[in-house]
Amino acid sequence: MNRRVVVTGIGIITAHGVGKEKNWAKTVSGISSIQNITAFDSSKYRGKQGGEVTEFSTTHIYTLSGKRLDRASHLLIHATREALLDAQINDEIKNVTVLLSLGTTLGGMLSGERFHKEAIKKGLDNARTSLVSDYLAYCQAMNLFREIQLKGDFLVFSNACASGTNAVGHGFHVVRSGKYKVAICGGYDTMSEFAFAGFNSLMAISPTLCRPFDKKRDGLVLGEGAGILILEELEHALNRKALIHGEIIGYGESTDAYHITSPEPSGRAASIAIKKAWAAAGEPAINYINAHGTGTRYNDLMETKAIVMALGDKARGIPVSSTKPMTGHLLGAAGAIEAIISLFSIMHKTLPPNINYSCPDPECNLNIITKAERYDIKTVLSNSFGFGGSNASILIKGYP
Amino acid sequence: MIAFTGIGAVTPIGIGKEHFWHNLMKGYSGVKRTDRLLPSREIFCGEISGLNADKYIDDSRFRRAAVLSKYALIATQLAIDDANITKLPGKNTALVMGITNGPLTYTQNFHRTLITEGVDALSPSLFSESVLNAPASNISICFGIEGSVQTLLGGRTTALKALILAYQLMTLDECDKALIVCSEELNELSLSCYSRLGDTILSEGAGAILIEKLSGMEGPHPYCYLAGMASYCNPSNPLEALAEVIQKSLETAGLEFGDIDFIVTDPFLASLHDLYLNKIPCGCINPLTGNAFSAAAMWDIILSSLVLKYGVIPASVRTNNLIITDEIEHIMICSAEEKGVAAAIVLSKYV
Repeated sequence: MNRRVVVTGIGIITAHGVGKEKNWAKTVSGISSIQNITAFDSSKYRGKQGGEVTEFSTTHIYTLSGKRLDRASHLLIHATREALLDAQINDEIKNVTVLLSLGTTLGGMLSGERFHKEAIKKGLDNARTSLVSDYLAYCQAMNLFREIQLKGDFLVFSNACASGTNAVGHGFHVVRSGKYKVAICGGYDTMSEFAFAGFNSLMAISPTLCRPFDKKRDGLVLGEGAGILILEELEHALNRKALIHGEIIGYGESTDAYHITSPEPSGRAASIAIKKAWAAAGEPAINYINAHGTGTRYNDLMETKAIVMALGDKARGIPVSSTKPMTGHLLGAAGAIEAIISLFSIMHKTLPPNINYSCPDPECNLNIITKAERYDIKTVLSNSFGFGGSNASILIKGYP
Repeated sequence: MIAFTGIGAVTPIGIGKEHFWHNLMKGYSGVKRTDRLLPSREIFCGEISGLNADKYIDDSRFRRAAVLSKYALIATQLAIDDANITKLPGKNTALVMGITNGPLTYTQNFHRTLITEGVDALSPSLFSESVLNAPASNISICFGIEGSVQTLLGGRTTALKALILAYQLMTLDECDKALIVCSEELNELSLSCYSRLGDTILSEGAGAILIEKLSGMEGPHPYCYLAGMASYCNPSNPLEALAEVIQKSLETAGLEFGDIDFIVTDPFLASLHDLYLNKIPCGCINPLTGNAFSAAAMWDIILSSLVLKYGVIPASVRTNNLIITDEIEHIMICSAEEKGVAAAIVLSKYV
C-alpha cells in the first residue's frame, strides 16, 4: 500500500540568503542575487559572476572539528538543522530511523582544490592529508550523520545537475513504500573554481546574464547553497501534529543515453521522466512548471520540447519560470532548491518570475512568467536535467 | 525473485570470470610492488596491467574516457556477454554505479592545468570525464540504457547499497533488468594519502553484475538469487550498526544465522570476528587483490556468486579454518566502514 508523503520541514541557503522567509521574499521580488565572484579571481573567465552565499560562513559544529570541515559540510549541516527545526522534529529525530538522501556534484571540492594547490607547491607527499578527509563527495553526509547523531541510513546521489531531484525522489519512494517514516532529503554544492573553469571550458558560462528561454540566452550562471526537505509519511506527521507544507505526489526519471554533456535534442528522453512523474501522481492539472531552465541554448530548447511532448499542447498555456537567473545554477542542490521554491509558490499562491527575459524565442514558446503574480497554484512540476543525460521530474501539490 | 544472470570482473587477478576464478583457485595474488604510480617510493598495490580496452570496447567515443570509466565499460560488456544478451532493452534497464574516489586522475590533471597553465589550456573533455557520474553516463551511452541511471557515492559498502537500490528499482517496476557496476582507478593522490595514513594496500578495477526478474529472464541458468539485504548507519555505535544489518538481512531472507554456509567480509572487521566469524566459515578477496573500495566489495559479490554456482570455495580466500558444509546454499556478504556505516546481503543458491 502506498503512503502519502508530505513535506514538514524546509531548510534553504542560497545567494538570496539563509532561511525560508528571505529566500521567498527575494524570489518574488525578482531581484537577482548574482554578483561578481569573490571566492576566486574570475576575471580570466568568459563570465565573472555567480550566486555566492555571502551572508553565511560557518555553522556551529558540536561533535566534529568544525575547522576541518569543507564549506559544503557547513552548508549542508546548517540547512539540515534549519529543516529539522522547521519540522519541529529536532528532539525526536535521534529516536527515529531515518533515511538521509542527498545529491551533490562536487562534494568537498574546495578542500580538494586546496589539496591540489598544496601538492603542486610543496609536493604531493607534503600536502596535508587532513584536507582530503572532507574532499570525497560522500564525507559530508557522514559528517551530517555524526553531527546530528542520526540513526538509519544514507545514500549520496551524484547524477550531475539532476542529483538533488534524484535524492528527493528517492526519499519520496522509500517513505511512500513504508520503508521509512521520515526522510531527510536534498542537495548541496559550493562555488568552486574547478566547476567554474569546467563549465567555462565548455562555453556554458554566460558572459552576460542568465536568460532562460530568451532568444538571446548565452549560458548559465553558477551558484552555491543547500536545500533540505523533511519528508514524512502523512500519518506520522499528523500524529505528531506537524505543520504540513505540501505533498510530493509523483516522481519520474529517465536517461538520454545520448551524449556526456549535450542533452538529447528532441526532448524525448526528458519527456519520459515528466510523463512518469505525472502518471505516478494520477495526471492532475499542473498549474505551474518550475523549469530546469539553465539559460543554455540546448537545454532550454530541449526542455520546451520535452514539456510539450509529455503534457501535450495544453502545456503551452501552463505558467513556466526558471529561478536560476536569481540564485545561479546550484548543480547538485538545484533540484532540492527548486522543489522548495515550488512548494513556496503553492503556499503563497504566487508564480515566481523568470527574470532577464526580454526577447521571446519562438522555439521556446511556453508561457514564460516574467513578473511575480498571484495565481491559484495547486500542483507544480519541477524539472532537473543533468550531464550524462540524467532526467528527473517531481510533482508537488499543496496540503490539504 | 531477483536472479544474478551476468558477471563481469576486471581485477588485478584476472579479467573476465574464467580468468578471475582460475586465479582464485590457484591462489594467485595480484598485489605487486610498483613505483609506476608514485615515483617517490615503491609501494604494494593491486594494479591492472597490460589491459587492452579496445579488445572489449570497440567504440572510439570512449577512447578518452577516464581509466575507471574504461574498467566499468569493460566489466559491463563482460556481464552482458555472460548473460548471453545481445542487446539490453534500453527503457527497461536500470544502472546503479557505485564509486568511492571517482575519476581522480582527470580531476587532478584538470586542476593542475588550470593552476600551472591557465584557463586557455583547459580541455573540456577532461572536465566532462571528471564529473562523478561520467562512468555511469558512458555506460548508458555505450549500451543504450534509458531507464534509471544512478551514481551512488560512498566507501566499501556502496557496492551493497547499489545492489539494494537496484533491487528497489525493480520492485517499483522501474525496470526488468539492472546493472550494478563499481569501479575504481589507482591514482597518485589516493596512493600518497592512504599510504601516509598507514592504510590498506590499494587496488583498482571494476566489477559488474546483471540482475533480472526471474519471470522475464532470458539468459542461461542464473548464478544465485538475492535473498536478503540491509544497510544501516549508526556513528555512535558502529557495532550495533553491523549487528543490525546482519540481523535484518537474515530476516529479509527468512534465515537464521546458522543457515549461512559462508561469510564474505572485509578483513578489517575485528568486531565481526569476535561476534560471528569464529562460528561460520569466512573469507575475503582483499588479500589477493588489494582494496579497491566499492569495486572490491563488488568482487566479493562476484566471488560469492561463483561459489554458489560452482559449489566450491577457493582455499586462497579463506580466513578461518572452520569446516565447510557439503552443499553451499547461502552466503552472506557484509561490509562495514569506520563511522558506523554497514551493509549486508544474503545470496542463495538458485535451484
